[in-house]
Amino acid sequence: VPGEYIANFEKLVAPLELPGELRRLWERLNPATLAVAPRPDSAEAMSVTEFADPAFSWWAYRRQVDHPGLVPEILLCVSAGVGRFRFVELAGPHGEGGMVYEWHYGGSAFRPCFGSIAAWLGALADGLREDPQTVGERGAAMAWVDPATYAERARLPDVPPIGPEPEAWPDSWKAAARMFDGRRRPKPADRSISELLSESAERRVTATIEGVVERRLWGDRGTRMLVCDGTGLLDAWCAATVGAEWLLRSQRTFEVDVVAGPGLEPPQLESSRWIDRAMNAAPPQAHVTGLRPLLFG
Amino acid sequence: MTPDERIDRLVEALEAAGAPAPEAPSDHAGLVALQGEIAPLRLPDTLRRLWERVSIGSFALVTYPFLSTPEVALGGWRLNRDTDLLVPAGMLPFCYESHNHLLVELEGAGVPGGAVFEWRFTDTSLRLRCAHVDDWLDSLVTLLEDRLFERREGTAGDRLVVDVERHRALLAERLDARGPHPLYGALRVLATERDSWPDHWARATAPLLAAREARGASATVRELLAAARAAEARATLSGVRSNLSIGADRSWRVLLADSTGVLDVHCPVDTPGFHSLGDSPLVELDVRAPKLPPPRARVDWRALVVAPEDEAAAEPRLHQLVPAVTPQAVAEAIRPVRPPAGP
Repeated sequence: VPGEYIANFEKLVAPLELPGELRRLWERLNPATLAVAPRPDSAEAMSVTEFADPAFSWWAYRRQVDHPGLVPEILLCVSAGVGRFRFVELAGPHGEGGMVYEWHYGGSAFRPCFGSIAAWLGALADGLREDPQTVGERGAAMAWVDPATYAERARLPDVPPIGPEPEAWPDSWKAAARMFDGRRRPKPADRSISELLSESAERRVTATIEGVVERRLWGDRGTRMLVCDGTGLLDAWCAATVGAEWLLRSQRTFEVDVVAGPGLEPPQLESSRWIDRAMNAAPPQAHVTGLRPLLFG
Repeated sequence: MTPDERIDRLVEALEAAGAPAPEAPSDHAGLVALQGEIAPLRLPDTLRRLWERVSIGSFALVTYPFLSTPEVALGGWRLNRDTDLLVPAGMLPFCYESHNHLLVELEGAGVPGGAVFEWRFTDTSLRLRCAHVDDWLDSLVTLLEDRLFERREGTAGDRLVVDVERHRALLAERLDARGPHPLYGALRVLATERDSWPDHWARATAPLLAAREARGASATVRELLAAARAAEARATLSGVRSNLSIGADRSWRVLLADSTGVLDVHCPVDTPGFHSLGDSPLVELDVRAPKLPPPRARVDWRALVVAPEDEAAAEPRLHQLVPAVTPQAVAEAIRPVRPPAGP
């Protein structure tokens, strides 16, 4: 991970700090490139590696700060499975941090699972050593560890879980949360898609919407996507210059800044498939100007 | 013998064989829909009365292939109509099981109807099994009277499973005894290639083939949406289809894109041409766009997502949310358009 990225992270989480082991891990490699994971139990999980890209951690942390109360700011997300996340405790006035917690969508507690990043890596290495047959290939080769043994290793039975509600958080977590009170920049959706389509029928409108996003066509120049928020469907073009390709590949729910209205240029994505070219001849209803994943609820 | 007398005999034979008398259908909606859609062709009277009097779920005699409900028969007829028309449109699959059909020839287009053919999806010919569906029904009475069945326990009570080979032999004997067929003479096997169809098959099918021909767009997506802002609008649109979701009733939501924009279209299962939707990404749609409703304010869209339990904890997917959105238009006819030739 480039040093400047790590420096930006340090600004993002300050006055909290990256734990030493995580910092060292990122200095040596992008952990998302470690093609290892517990053997998946669903097709969706097939390509999910155990560690998240630091870019994901960035967006996740931005979301935590801007929408507080669900995931405490003292935790940094470093692993995202299907509905399951792992966080490392940041360092700060309370101590050196480093404990790894697991949390699920649906109001689970924060359950301690590894005492440190090093212990986590050790458990993965043990799993690979003990069961070398669990190496599968699907797209890029992935090494899988036995999920049952691994789950057993990811247990710290003597450390109690921490409840999901902020009232149940330890004082150090509550104190860390207060450190960010002056730095929150929430930018909630200001319109429904139905309202946006109505307003933009005759004129250009700049707006922020949110909803489920599905990629339809994509190429080097960007992505043609659909957004749905239960009131309408928006067909939008997200140019590569927006810099959201990797987010669109890994996430499905977003806040989306758009310019909508008549006369927007069709993307004319280059494709050898006539069907793609035909679809892309239609002007999109909106151009995307910004995209933020709606992580953690 | 009238159709009702035939059915009475069948019911008596069932009861004599120890099976319960079949119940009457709770409603005739499926039959009415079937008759409406095959019109101007008509069901042979005996089959129509059988479906009017007998709820197929309560019919204890198990034939091969199974006797279908009117709904299933209509589904098979639509599938044939909308896809490759592998058999003439004047044939209704009234029995179906595991890729095998008994087709009854419908009345109309200058033919009396009633002939029964057997046809599998992979067959290149239709085999005449009965000169008339009356013979098929009478053969069931004979099977029951001669006890050519096996009694099996089923979840809905005992079922009498007919001896398939004996049934076939019985039908063949009756067909031979009838002598030359008024339409097919001594022919027992007729090729499904359209070029070799008898004239009356082609006549019955011609209107449906014509209905599948693309006519050209009458408006663009943009023009339709502009018109719908003032009042309900109708148009023929031509463009590229991509799928949004499939409803619990198997209807499709599709996005139609032309050179002016995209349109969210609901395609009910009973839309003419519905089964051709999967054939080609290029389509022509006759659509009705209701007057554009006032815009809806934001909603808690996560609460709208209907997800299977195992997906509830994961991020929602677009197709789970689409049903909450009112479609911009409803398809009234669907016609596939041939893709451009070459690379």
